[in-house]
Order: sequence, then structure tokens, then C-alpha cells
Amino acid sequence: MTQQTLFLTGNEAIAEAWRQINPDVVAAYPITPSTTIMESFTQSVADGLVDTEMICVESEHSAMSACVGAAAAGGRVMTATSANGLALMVEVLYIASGMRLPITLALATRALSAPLNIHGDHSDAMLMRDAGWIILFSEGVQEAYDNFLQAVRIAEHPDVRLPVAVTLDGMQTTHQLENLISEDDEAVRDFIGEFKPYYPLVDVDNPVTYGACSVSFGEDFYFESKRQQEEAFKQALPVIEAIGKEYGNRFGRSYELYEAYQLQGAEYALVMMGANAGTAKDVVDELRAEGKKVGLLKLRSFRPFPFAAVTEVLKGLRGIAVCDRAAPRGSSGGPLFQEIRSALYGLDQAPTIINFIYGLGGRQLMPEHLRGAIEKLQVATMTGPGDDLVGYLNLRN
Amino acid sequence: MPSWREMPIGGLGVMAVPLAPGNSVEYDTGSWSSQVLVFHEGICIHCMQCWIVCPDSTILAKDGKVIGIDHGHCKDCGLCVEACPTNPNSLEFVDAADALVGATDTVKNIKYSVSAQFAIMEKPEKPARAPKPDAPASA
Repeated sequence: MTQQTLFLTGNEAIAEAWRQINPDVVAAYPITPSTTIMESFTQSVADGLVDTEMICVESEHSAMSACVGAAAAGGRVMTATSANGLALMVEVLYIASGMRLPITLALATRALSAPLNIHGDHSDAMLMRDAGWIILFSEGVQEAYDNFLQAVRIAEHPDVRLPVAVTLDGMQTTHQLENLISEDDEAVRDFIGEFKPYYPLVDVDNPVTYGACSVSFGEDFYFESKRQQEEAFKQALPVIEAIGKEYGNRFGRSYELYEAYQLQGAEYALVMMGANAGTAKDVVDELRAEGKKVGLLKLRSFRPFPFAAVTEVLKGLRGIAVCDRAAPRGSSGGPLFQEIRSALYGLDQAPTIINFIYGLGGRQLMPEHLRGAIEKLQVATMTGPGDDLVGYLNLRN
Repeated sequence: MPSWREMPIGGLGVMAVPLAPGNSVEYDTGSWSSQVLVFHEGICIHCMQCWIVCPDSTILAKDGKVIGIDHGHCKDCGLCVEACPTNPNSLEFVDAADALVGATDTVKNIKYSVSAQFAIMEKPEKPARAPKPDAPASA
């Protein structure tokens, strides 16, 4: 099938990418808003369009466990989930990354209960931020599709060998229809290449032990294997950049670790991830038209966090408003805010930086809310940010 | 033990470092034992009941006779002592701390080390193995 423009939801776009990738094993358990990924992909399985072994398991814990087993056996493996499903997977997320298995996961982000809420925010993605997974955020349907194809390459790269999660904002990207340029099947398969497993369990001539106990004196290598994981994250930064560039050369859409939107000559900037960065781009365009020097930093790779690049691109600004879409946890601002603020520490004239929480449980973020955030930021740069660095957008006060 | 740079990624048990692949022949799984199993050759009638019940293949046998214990893999489960029909038993547990300082006569019978912690006991030579082509070179 040659390149074609389709009209798909984000979840259908992920399923389209999977059909083209033709993974060896997919194990999943349905949960809103990720369900339609499986719904759409299992149709491809039923129609015989893929050779995938589709495992319908009894829970997300089992789904990720089956993925770990299949990946250790030597398969190209993927799954999809959301929110509480991801929470149930957490134990096995660490096992997947600790065993350095190149599993890919489509995370349709959603609020965590309670109160029960099936709409989008990034709380579940932040639940896995320390689980040793690479996490890529997608702005829209096309990016979710493009990110997933690249995720397979990143995860399997010999310098990386880490599991990768591609997030798409629940109910926004997952369920809204957008134009998708679906690349030629053969071109996609050529780009991702043949899967070459590292020490597959099914290679009986070269036996290997995965995840063996490491506690006894003199034979403890747990600490060393964790240090290796950190090294893999460091090595992943140039790999993600190189694969993003290669993807651009081949398909015309290049990707970097972040997208600097109108940051050239900007005095104020928003920092965001995911679907609402699209809204922010419109707001930036409007403000620029009014002569206000405002830009946007949209982060694509949250793990590994590109500290050096972020410092370089944000230094020299007067003020920064970091917008977090994750549940409060008694910390000094949201998870993205902490990373950005940390990246700016040590600069001679660090920009004023404040934090806004938005969009929890699918709460709408309209252009006027972001304009309000910029206005508050401008005031903060003149009067100082005050005691409370954290504000809330579109919260009923 | 190799440094983090030299280890196979993810702590995989592959040839050479750090663990033996697919089994624990080269890995002392019983190194945390607080007791040491002692074999009394003079009492043993070589019925091989202990050899049958041992879940870790630690009863060493040759030509139909018990010849010793693989202390690197014995986990003190005690099934062999329970199965032993002689009176007194041909297999006996002694406290690892006593074994370490040679406090009991029976320690003389111990042929293999329990672990690196018990340096007084000698360890059998392990055959050298070639590393896999894509495995990092051993230090």
C-alpha cells in the first residue's frame, strides 16, 4: 500500500502503525481510553493482515508480564494501556526496564482514580516516569503514529535497549479524528528493520538467564545493572535525535527531543507536553501578531530528560511558565516544572519561572487560560514570583 | 566481579560473566546458608534416599555411592536428613559459624566451600569459558 492520507483517531493511528510493524506478540487488556487501539488492531489480526500472536490476558499485570516473557524469548512486542491499567502494570514495568527488554507501549493518558474519571491528564505517565522507561509525548494523531514507528527503533537500538512508552492524550488525541499521512507499508518495514533480539531465551544453543537473583555477598550486581540503565538513558539522547532526523529524511517529518516554537527572540515562554501544546501554538501566534514576544517549548522526550538542550534553549528568556497536567503530590510544583527549574539552576541570570497545573481529569484548557498564564508570568517577572509558584488554570475558585 | 561497564546489560546470565547461563552450576545458590550439611561416611549405608529427595542436586554420588555434599548449592532444606534411615543420621547440620572456626570435628569432611564467606574451605576449579562475541570482555 502506498502512502495515503487517512482520517483516523489517535488510537486508530497507533493500530495502523502496529499493522505496518507486524509485531510478533501483542498482549493487552482493555481500558478506556486505550481500548480502541486493541479494538482496531485485533481487527487486523482477525483479518489476517498481521502474523501477530495476540494474547488476550486477564489483567494489565498479566499483559506486561506476557510482554516481558515474549520479549525475553526474542520477540518484537507491544501493548497499550491507560491510567489504572498502567498502575496495575507498575511492578512489571520495572522488570521490563531492568531486564532491558525493548518493549513498546502506547499510553493513552488518563486521570487516576479517585474520584473516578476516564478523561485525559498526564498523571499516569508521571506514575511511570521513574520506572526506567523512555517516555515520548505526542501532540496529535500524526505525531503519535510517527513517534510509535520511531519508538520501535529507539527501543531496539544497541546503545539503548530500553522499553519505550509513547503517550497520546486521552480523549483528545486518542478519540478525535485528524488527517493522518500513513506511510507505505514496505517503507515503514524498511525503516524499522528486522528485529534482532539480544540473547533470546529460545536460542537453546546459547543459554541465558534473565533476571536472576542478585543479593548474595560477592555476587551482587544489582547496583551495577542500575548504573547501566542510567548510561542507556544518556546514550538514548543522541539516538532519539538521530532516528528523528532519519525519519525526517525518509518521510519528510523530522523530530527532535523538543520543539522550539517561536522561541527565537522570545522574552516569555510556555513549556508544555502533549495535545495542549497545539492550543499553545495558536496562543503564541495570536500574541506574536499583537507584538508580544512569546514562544513555546514543547517537550517530546520527557525520559530521558534533555537537560543540556533545555538549558540552552531557555536561557536568556525573561520568564517561563511551565504547564503541568499531572495530579498534585505535595512537591514544589509539577514534575515537568521541577525538571525545567532544575535545568535552569546555576545560570547567572536565570529566568523567572512559575508553574501552572491544568487539564486534570479532562478539564478544558482554552486559549484564554493560556493568555491569562502569560499575563501572570509577565507580572511575576516584574514583581517576583511570590511565595506560591503554583497556579491553576480553569479551576473553579 | 566485573564493573558495570564490563557486565552484560541487564545483569543477564551469559557465558563468562557474571552468571552461568540457564542453570546455576557456576553460581553458589546456597551461599546464604546459616548451616552447613555434614556427611558421615562411616554411618552411611548408601541407600541413596537423600540423593533422590534433594531438590538441588547437592548430594554428590559416584558409582552408586554418596561421596559428599555440594555446599555451594545446599539450601539447608533438611529433606535429606529427614529421609536418612540410619541412626544416628549420616547427614547432620552444623552451625555455619562453628564450621567457619573449625569448632567441630565434622568440619574436616567438608570438601567444597559454602561461599566466599567461608574461606577456610577450598573450592573446586571452574573451567574457563570463552565470552560470547558481543559480550563485553571480562576484566
